[in-house]
Amino acid sequence: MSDEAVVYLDHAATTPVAPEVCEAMLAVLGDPGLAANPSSGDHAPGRRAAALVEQARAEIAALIGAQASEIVFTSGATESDNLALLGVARGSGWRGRHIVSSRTEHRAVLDALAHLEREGFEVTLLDPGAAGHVAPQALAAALRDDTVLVSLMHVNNETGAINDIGALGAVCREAGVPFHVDAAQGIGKFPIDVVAQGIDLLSLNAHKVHGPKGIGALYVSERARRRIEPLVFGGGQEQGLRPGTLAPHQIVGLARALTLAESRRESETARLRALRAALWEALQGCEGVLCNSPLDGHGSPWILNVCFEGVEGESLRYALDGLMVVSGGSACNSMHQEGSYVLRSLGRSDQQAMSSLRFSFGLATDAAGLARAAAEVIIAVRWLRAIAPAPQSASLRASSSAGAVN
Amino acid sequence: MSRVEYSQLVRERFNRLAHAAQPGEAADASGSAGRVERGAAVELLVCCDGRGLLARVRFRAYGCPALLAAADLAAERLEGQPSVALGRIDPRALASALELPAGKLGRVLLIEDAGQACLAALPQSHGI
Repeated sequence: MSDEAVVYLDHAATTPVAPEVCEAMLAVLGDPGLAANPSSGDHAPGRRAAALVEQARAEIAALIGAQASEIVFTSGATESDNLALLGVARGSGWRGRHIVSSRTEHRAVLDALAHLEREGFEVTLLDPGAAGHVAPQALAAALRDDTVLVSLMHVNNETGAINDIGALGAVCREAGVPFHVDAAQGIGKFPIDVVAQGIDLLSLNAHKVHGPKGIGALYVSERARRRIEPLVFGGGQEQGLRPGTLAPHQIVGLARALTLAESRRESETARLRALRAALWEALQGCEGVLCNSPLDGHGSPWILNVCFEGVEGESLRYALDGLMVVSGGSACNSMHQEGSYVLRSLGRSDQQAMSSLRFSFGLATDAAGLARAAAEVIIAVRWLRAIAPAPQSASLRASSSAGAVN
Repeated sequence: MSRVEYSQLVRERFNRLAHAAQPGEAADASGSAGRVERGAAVELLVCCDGRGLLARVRFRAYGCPALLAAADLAAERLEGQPSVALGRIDPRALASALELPAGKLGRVLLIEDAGQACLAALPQSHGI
């Protein structure tokens, strides 16, 4: 089967670069007049490169209601998360050593928090529960006098569950605690206003919204700026917070991708919401399916995560390989199997988590592709179930229920 | 998409699984190992001819592509063999023939257990 026939449904992992973004980046890369180091203010080419960077910075800031001076360019959301967490924790000094986050954060946050625990910080991880999003009341109850940072994701990368960051930000503002939001799956897809939503630090990237990989940014509010420490040193770029030679073509690509995403946000939201509903309806033609994504307003139209009970996950993904690109749980490399920690936190068993697929959508996603994908998934699921021995437990034998987590 | 890299041998066999049992497959005996609830299970189903040879061997399996492909290969190799061959399934030979990653051998051991269970379940009249 040719690559053209493969349905790409892994946009939550990364997206193809939009032609408009590619064009903007090539214009920078291909212009010898823009090849200078943007930090070289002593000559005109350097100042031209710097002007491009500053224009992009202003565009990005405007999209989230920030000041241009509050945008720090990084290599992506993982670095932004690390800079926010490690930087603010270490820079908070006498204020305390307690941090609040949640169990379903991306590894970029959880692993950074684990590192901070080894440095003596105390971390409280909230349980989003079956709904998949953190309740503001639970956050308020977790805050302490020595809490120095709250870090919560905007949109979960596996299920698409949306946190009400405005309500969570209000809790943090009331308590005077800096609020970090990992917006890797939310930027360009949902309105973000850092001031109105009480956000002090916001991680964002380009490659989830049809921009280039390897570029991102961290919004740092004036308040957070007083507490954050850099992780690397040398050169003084980005106000000393993230030194290193800036990449104008990448930065222009980031700004162009985010601007395009914002211009398409409302139409894409409506279009993909309808497509996601159609895919879920089609997949229910296969018995024993469970929806791991919230299907109401608390779920991102860009993501649908579905459990296919009675099917071994790795074999399901293997059967679909070459037909579509989707993401699933962990592969079994030994007798030990462990499903996604995000899905298990929603109450799914290891086996259910392992038997789940994440379908995630983007600009090229269309009804025909999704219909074909649904048909292929149903064929594969039925085939694998047909060749499987009967399960010995009653719960698996009766795995024909279908329901949504919301 | 799969995080484990399998050989083309696994891919070709997985795509066909010619020895997978049909629904309602008849058998003189069957033997199982593993549990679906634990992520891997195999069942071998055999029919013998009048000379005590394994005339038809089929499998049911729940597990990773390595297990499914290895079960299919084991069934293929058993056909035409004396029934005692059910007790001599060599998981390492199956893993080697399919060029399985080393970490997958544990899964293939289930086929050996299923073969022994099947042999134990085979009536005496079938040449044991």
